[in-house]
Parts: sequence; C-alpha cells; structure tokens
Amino acid sequence: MLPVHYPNNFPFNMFGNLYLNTTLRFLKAVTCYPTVLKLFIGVFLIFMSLLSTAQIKVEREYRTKSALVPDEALKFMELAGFPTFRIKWYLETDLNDTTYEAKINYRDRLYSIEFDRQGKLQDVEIEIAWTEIPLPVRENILEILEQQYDRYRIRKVQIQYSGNPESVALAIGKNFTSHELTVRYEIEVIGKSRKQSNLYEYLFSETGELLGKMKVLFRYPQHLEH
Amino acid sequence: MKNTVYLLICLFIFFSYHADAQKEIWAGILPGITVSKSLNDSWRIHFRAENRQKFFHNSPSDPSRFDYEYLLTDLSVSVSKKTGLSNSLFTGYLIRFTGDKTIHRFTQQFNLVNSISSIKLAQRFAVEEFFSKHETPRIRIRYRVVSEFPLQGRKTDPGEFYLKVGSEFLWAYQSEKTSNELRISPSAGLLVTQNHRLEAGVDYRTPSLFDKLNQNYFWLTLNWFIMIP
Repeated sequence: MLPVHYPNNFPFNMFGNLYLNTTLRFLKAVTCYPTVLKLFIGVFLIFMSLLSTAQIKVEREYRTKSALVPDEALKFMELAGFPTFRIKWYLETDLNDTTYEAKINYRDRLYSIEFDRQGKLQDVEIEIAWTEIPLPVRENILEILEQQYDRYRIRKVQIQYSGNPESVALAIGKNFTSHELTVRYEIEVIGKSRKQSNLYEYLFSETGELLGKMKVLFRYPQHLEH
Repeated sequence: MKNTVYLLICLFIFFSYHADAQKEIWAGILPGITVSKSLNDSWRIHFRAENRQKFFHNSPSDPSRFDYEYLLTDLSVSVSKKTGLSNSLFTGYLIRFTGDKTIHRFTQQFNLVNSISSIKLAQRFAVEEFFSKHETPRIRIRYRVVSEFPLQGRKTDPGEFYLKVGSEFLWAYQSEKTSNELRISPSAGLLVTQNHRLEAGVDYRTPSLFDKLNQNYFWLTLNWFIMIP
C-alpha cells in the first residue's frame, strides 16, 4: 500500500490527498491488471468516438452577439423601437441555411423576429392570448381542430407579421393593417387522437383559413425519469 | 460554461462549510449508467446500474480521514409508459447488493415535464417499497423537482452543455418509525449525441431534515445515459 498522509483541516487539504490516493490506486490497478487496462482503453475509445460523432451537426442554434448580426437586421430592430440592449440574438444553422433570430420581452409581450443570412426580415412573431384573436377567426380555427382530434389543448398562440419591413415595424403591437402586410396566426396544439398525444404547429390566415400543419418532434426527456 | 463551473464550486463550498459545522461527513463517488430502449411509441424499457463507494468519512469521534469502502451496487430494470405528451408512468424493480445483504426495491412513479421558455422543469412523484431478509419492509415516498437549463442557446443541441439542478424530498416509514431526507443535486451535462448524454455533479444528501443536521453525504455523480431508439 502506498504511504498516505491523512489531513485534519477539512476541506482545504482533503481533496488533494483524496485525488492523489484515488489516482495512484487507479494507476496501480490499470497497470497491474491488463484486463482493467484493456477495459479502460475500450471505454475511452467509445467516449472519444461518441464525442467525434457529436461534431457532425445537422442543426444547431446558439446565442450570438449583436456585433455579428447583419446591419439590416439591426436597423429593423431600431426602426421597430425595440430597446437594443435587451435583445437576445440567436444564430440557427443547418446544412442548407443560416438564419438570425432576435428574442425580446418588451412591454409584457414576447417577440421573436427572424432574419435571413443577409439580415432581411422574414417574419415577426408575437405571443398573444387566444382571446386576442377576433371571434370569427377563433370559431373557424376551433371548427378545424374539433374535426381533427378527440381532445386537444391550445398551448401557444402567436400572431405573425411579414411583408414590407417598414409596414411590419409600424404594425408591431398596434393592430395596424396594410396591403403590404401579411398577418397570420401560428398556433401550437397538443392533439389527442387514437390514444396518441402529439404536438402540432398550425398556420392560419388572417381569416382563420388553414394554411399549414406540421407535427413537432417532441423528444421526451427520458433522462429526467431517473 | 465557466459560470456553471463557478456555480458548482460555490454550491460545493457552501455545502461543505455547512456540513463541516455539523461534524459528520461522508463523501464518495456514485457512477451510474442507464440504457433505455423504446419498445413502441408509448412504452420504453430501462436498465440501470449504479455503484456507490465511499472515500472519506469525518465525524466528531473520528477525525477527517481517507476511508475507502465499497458500499453498494444497484441493478434495476423498469418500464415506462408515455401517458401524454409530457408525462409518463414508470414502474421498476431494483436489486441492491450491499455487503452481505441483498435488498429488493419496487418503484411506482409519475413523471411530469413542463417547459418554461427554454427551461425544462421535471417533477417526479414516486412510491418505493423495500424488502430484505434482514429488515422489516420499508415504504418510501419521494417528490423531486429538476430544472434543466441549456447553456448554449434556447435548447440543448448535440455537442452542447446544460445545467441541471435537482431537489428531492423523501419520507420513509419502517417498523412504525418515520424518517426523512433532503437531496440537492446540481450537475453539468453534455448532450453528446441525440442518444447519449453524460452528466457530472454533486449529490448532497442529508437525513433528519427537521432535526439538527448531523449527517451529510456528498457523492460525486457521474452518469451516462444511452437511449436506443
């Protein structure tokens, strides 16, 4: 057995000796027993292969700085009157494209503004309450949902503005309409049919006409069960 | 990432000082591996192996010292059923080898996961029954809440780190006696690929929550989660 000095003044000296002991015992084990050494090398190689696999990314999204965002996108945010210091910028990349997204909580509303690689506005989404959608539009939407599911729950509602950036900047949060402006509703629904619950994203026109439906891949976090 | 490391160090120091004042500390490692396999859209089967080893023990009668001891190994098999988009029922069996004793544990639990902006909030309600030849049966009720924060963006993508902070309260009943325990477990995780994740952190446990704190356990946790689609 290797000589070990046992510390008394916890916690300052404990960890150094603890790690030294553990490391020495571990090294002794792996060098004395070839099977342990082989096992260790095997586990190490598996970990390394997993880490290298992680480098092949299909889709990534991460925070970025405003200094790295195209000028056109920054100008739009100024034009719309957002306080620039509160904006969180994200960069989304996949195999084909790169987009920028600005997120801001402003005047009790959550805004999500998407731009293309050059900083050209794609759309502005504002989280709203279900009841903020005009009643006739809501009725049209509910009729469609009731046809599709045994049970459903509306999880999130967003009003989406796109079109001419100046018109969009003017329209944000002011219920302003213009022929240069496209208004849509994006709705997240948990729908249950045939005993299966899934998350869907719907896109409705300004009048409640169904424009698109997409199943959202929801990965249940299994690691949180243990 | 730096912030996470600082936070973990601060938490560890905080609990170390707190624990030091009570003069009874156990510390060691708690590595575990979990393999989950989807059986169909709703059902999953899980296998888990966990091992606990003590490296340090400090008490008023027995000052700080390196004190290695193998404590236990747990092997478990469980099944879970998705009962909704973000909730599941879970039942399992665990066999615990500890010294010359073998303990059998049956678990029933309900899991609920919510997302608040980019934070995942998972709640777990569990009931466990322990059986052993050497002890009378024991029942334990657990409630755990875990928050998971992505550290690079709004969601954790492969190759990115996240922070997980868990807090759990346990209440046990055995031979007309009750006991309780509090666990706090901050950890940092890496989503290696969509199907592999690694987590490292500290699992702090203290029994006798409402009495004077006198026992403190610190386990360095290392977990590898493998999801087979």
